[in-house]
Amino acid sequence: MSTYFIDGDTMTGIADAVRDMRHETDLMTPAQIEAKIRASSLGIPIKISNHMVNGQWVRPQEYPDLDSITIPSDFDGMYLTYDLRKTPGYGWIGLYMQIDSTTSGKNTYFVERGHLDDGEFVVELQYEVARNSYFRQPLDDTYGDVQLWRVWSKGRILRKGFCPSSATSSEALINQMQPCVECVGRLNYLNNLVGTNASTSSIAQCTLWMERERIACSGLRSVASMTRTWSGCYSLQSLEIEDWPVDKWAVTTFNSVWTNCISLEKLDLSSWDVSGWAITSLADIWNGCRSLKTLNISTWDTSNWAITSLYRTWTQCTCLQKLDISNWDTENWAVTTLNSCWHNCASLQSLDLSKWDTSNWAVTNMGYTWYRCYCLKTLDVSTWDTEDWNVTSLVSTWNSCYSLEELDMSNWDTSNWTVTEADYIWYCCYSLKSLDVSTWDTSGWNVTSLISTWNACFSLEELDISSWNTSSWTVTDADYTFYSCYSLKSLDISDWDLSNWTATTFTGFLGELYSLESLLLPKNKTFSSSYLVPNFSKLQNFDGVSININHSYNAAYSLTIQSLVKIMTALPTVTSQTLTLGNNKNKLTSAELAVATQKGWTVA
Amino acid sequence: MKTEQINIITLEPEKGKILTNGETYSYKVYLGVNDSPDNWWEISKEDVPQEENI
Repeated sequence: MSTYFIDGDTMTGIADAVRDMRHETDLMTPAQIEAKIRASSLGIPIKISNHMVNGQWVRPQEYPDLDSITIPSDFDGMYLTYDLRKTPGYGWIGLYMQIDSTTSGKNTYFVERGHLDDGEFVVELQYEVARNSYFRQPLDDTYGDVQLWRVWSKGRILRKGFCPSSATSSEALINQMQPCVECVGRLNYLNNLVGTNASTSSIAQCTLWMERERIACSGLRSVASMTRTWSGCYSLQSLEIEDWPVDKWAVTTFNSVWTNCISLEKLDLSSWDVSGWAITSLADIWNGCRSLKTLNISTWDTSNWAITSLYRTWTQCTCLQKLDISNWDTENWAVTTLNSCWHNCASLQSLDLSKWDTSNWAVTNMGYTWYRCYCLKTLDVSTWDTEDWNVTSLVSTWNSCYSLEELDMSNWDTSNWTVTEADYIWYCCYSLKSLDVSTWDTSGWNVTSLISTWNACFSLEELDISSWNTSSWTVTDADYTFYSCYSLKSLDISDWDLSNWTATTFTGFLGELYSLESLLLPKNKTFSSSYLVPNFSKLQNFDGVSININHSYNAAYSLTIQSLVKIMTALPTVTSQTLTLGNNKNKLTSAELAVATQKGWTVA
Repeated sequence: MKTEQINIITLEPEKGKILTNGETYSYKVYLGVNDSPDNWWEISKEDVPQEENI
């Protein structure tokens, strides 16, 4: 069964389900129709794939808005395929053709539904539409889920589009006219664009619909903006733009260039000389390039850039296995936004950023930076200069880096950071064996949440956070903070100041620490949570918080006498509670047990 | 010299039995100062839930 993307993941499968409920069993897909047209004499295929964003069809300004297009003499029309599976129960064909009647003497254009028969378009239904007027009809799915339409005129088309031009259209009408998924036609003129701006000269709009066509852009000069050039080119599989004269351009805005090119598999930009550019943002450039396997940008000279934002730069590049940006010159960058930069680079295996100069950066947000980099084994950020950073959010920074084995940030200066969000920072770093954050200065932090910060770091044997200063932290929730760190042998947070914490439940805070041999917890506060009791069989050395409710160490049968005495000593006075020691009772003298019973504890 | 008399009430079940207060199971119980032997009773070992560690 095929899978159809409409607006990301949300509609995936719905179209299939709808199709399954219908009677078509050997439906001709738009691609098959395109192939037939390509094989026939009808036209050179150019594919147009409209799409939805956040449930809304993308506005028609993405359609070519060229002022004047002379239709070649052998023009056969444009062929539109409407895939009603993508708009279940809802579909319209909407058109607007501006015809120059003074040239052609023709006042109409024709809109026809038909089908292909031996390479010929057979008309089933024809509408004749007055020039410069809208055509709008509902698509009747009784004629098939995938319908082929042709639009043609013998007149000179001044402006054409699936929708009215933005200057004259109504928003409601636009939104109803977008179920067309592909356009096939003889549109050679698109290969000879002339303009000065990649974003507005219609390069973007032309390539928006192409799947694998080559774009000649020799006429482009002095391009300053490439923002959103191919944004939303859902069908674009390859893009041959290696020889674009980008060295002659003075690009200043470059963000969102290939956003949501979900079919793009390869992008070789190694020949691009971008050294003369003066861009400040790399935000969203390759965000959503889910099929991108090869991205060659290693040779880019980035020394003249002054990047401030790396927000979502490679987010959702789920197929990208290699990304060589190790030699990028970042000395003049002043990055403030790093969050989600490599978010969901699910196939990326290594990332060498050791030569990046971050001394001029002033990062404030690192949330989700490497979130869901499932395959990332090595990440070298050990040399980063973070002294001038003021990070406030570390939420999920390395969350779900399943394969990451080592993370050395011992040289990071965090003294100017004011982190408030520390949830899920290393959550599900299953393979992380070494994490050196021992020297981090956290005294300026005001952490309010520690949910699952190290949860599921299965391989982590050592974690030295003993010197972290938590006196200004006001943690309200610390559930699952160290949960299921199965390999962790020792943990010392005895000097942590919990006096300002208002967290009470601590659910799973110390859960399933089966390898734990030594645990030192703060002693300056009494808690009513049994989740702070390390009832683990390998635990020998323990000193920690006082608990004022029933709790048990019966499974912690390796506890030393000294540790048990400390437990007795730390017990608060209660009215009547039960401390279950199991066989640990036998290690203690009556006098030692009496320390507990005199404070109201029954020892079982 | 410091002399201290320690008074702890201990409970021990008969052979084959175990003590419980309904939540905790133990072969020997040292009663807290406010606890009462009435809060504990004997049950046979077979009646201890399997998931309980004693």
